[in-house]
Amino acid sequence: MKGNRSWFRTRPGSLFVVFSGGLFIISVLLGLSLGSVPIPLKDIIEALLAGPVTHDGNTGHIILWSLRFPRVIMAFIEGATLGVAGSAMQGLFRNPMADPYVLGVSSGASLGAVLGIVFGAGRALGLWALPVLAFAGAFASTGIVYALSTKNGRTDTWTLLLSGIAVSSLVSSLIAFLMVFFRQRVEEIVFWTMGGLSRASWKAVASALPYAVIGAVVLWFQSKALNAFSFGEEAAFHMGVSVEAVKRRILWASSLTTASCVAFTGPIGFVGLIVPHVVRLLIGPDHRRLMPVSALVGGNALVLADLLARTIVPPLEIPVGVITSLFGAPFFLYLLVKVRKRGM
Amino acid sequence: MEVRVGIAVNNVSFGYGEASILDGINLKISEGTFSVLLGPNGAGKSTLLKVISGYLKPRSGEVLVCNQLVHSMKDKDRSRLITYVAPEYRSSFEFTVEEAVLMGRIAYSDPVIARSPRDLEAAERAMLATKIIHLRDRPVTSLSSGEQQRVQIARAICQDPAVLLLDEPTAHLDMNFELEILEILTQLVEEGRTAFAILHDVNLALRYASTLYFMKQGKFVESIHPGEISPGIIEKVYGVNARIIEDPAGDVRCVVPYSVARS
Repeated sequence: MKGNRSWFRTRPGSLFVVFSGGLFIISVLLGLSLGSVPIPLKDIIEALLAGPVTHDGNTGHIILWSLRFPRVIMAFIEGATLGVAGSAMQGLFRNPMADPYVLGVSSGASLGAVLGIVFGAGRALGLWALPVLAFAGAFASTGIVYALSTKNGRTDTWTLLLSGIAVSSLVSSLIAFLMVFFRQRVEEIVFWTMGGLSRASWKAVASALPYAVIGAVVLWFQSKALNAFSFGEEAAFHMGVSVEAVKRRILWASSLTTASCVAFTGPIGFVGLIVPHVVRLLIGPDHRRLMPVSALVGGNALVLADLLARTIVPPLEIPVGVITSLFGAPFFLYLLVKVRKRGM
Repeated sequence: MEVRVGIAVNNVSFGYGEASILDGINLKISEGTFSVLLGPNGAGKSTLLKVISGYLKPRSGEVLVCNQLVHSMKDKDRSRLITYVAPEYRSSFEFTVEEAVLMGRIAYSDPVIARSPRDLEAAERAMLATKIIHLRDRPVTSLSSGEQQRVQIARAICQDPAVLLLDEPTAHLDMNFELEILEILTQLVEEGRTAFAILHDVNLALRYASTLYFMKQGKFVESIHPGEISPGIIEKVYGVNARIIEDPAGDVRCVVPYSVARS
């Protein structure tokens, strides 16, 4: 029918979605199975059927339930969030360079965490110290950037982009400054700011999941408005979009969902930039399908990247951000060149 | 029969900072008419249209469209009543023509994500009326300026407003498409809609419009019916000497400018 015709507009596009769905199952199973202790598929199914075990019983089951399940789920949530938030930000800014971190979420979160590390907040607040401080830092930097760019209820997107860059670089230099003064903590700081999923836990999943789900739904409901933004804010206004309200919803929903993940894992780069691009090239720019497919692809990408990060040079674990850039960048360049050759 | 007012502008002024762009504008356009706004570059024509559309808030005065205050309406309600087509809209992403035309239904879409059959039908009709149906699956970014212009007019038609504001709708079009767009507008007006357009070409305005408004430096200097055009008006508005001639085949007048007026 006609209604469906626009849903997956090309055959390669719909094949790609089917492929991503299949890849989801494979990447989750691989993520659960591989690691310093390989666990065969049979045991994974057994563990799932046996239900959560944290002590006694099969060691494989314990590894699965206490380490790998939360880790794989966290990776998927974060990848999906970055995919959705990246699509929304690129749509809002009409700029392919935008990503979920444009409002300074990653640098703000890093500063929060670094302050926690250097002042030993862990002793006072326990395990939750760093995530809470990181989340607060992300929230604060988003707020500052937003306030700087809003006047008389109107938020200027160019000012937003520029002040986001300025605040991010200011915060980065503050972090560098702190690193000079607290040399004994440098390793810990670098480890946190490089990002990684080794800190994933059921508690992290439980805290990030509600934000991720609510944020993704809020963003998805702005799809038609985001489509209209492609022609500029003035055009969107004349199509009946409540421009300022939509902008506010997108900025806060994507920054807060991203922050809720980054608070636990540290900033993970490149996924939020590249995934929406790849998906847009394959299935078109309509945000109604761009966002859910970017969630799926982003989630898959991060599960696989994390798998590589912890298995590529055992027993070391490479920061997952390194993997996403190492594999993402060449793939992205390949796509760019290919698209330019096709003359688009 | 009582003539209903489509657009009423009451003593509207607008400016940025110290600079004043519109200065005490008054205007009344009847429903179901085609009026044209003319004037030299920088006269404030586009600004006036955007104030009427609700996009710009006037410093003082008020704008009523079909007896409703434009600037205090909800975005969706306003967009079902009035829309505006800019001289140029560029899409950042490769939406297809059909998707771009369907954006005219945002003001109607109660399902947040899905599209209703009525939306698809409206888009179909708008694409047929503007003769872009054969382009429906083409990305808008691959179209010529003239084709993009027709896509935006189709989007506006798809929106089904009572009042259409058009800023140089024929700016990028060849003679044939130019006339085609004006004929589409004439048809929309015959359906009972009100059209208010900025045109570059006085002669097109004289042929198609029922009223011509001339603007200069943020003020109306003249409002006339096509039969009332005179060399004096052209000189006053554009600073150009012109002859007025009759089209031999009809009762349409044409302006033939021949030199810059020395004052």
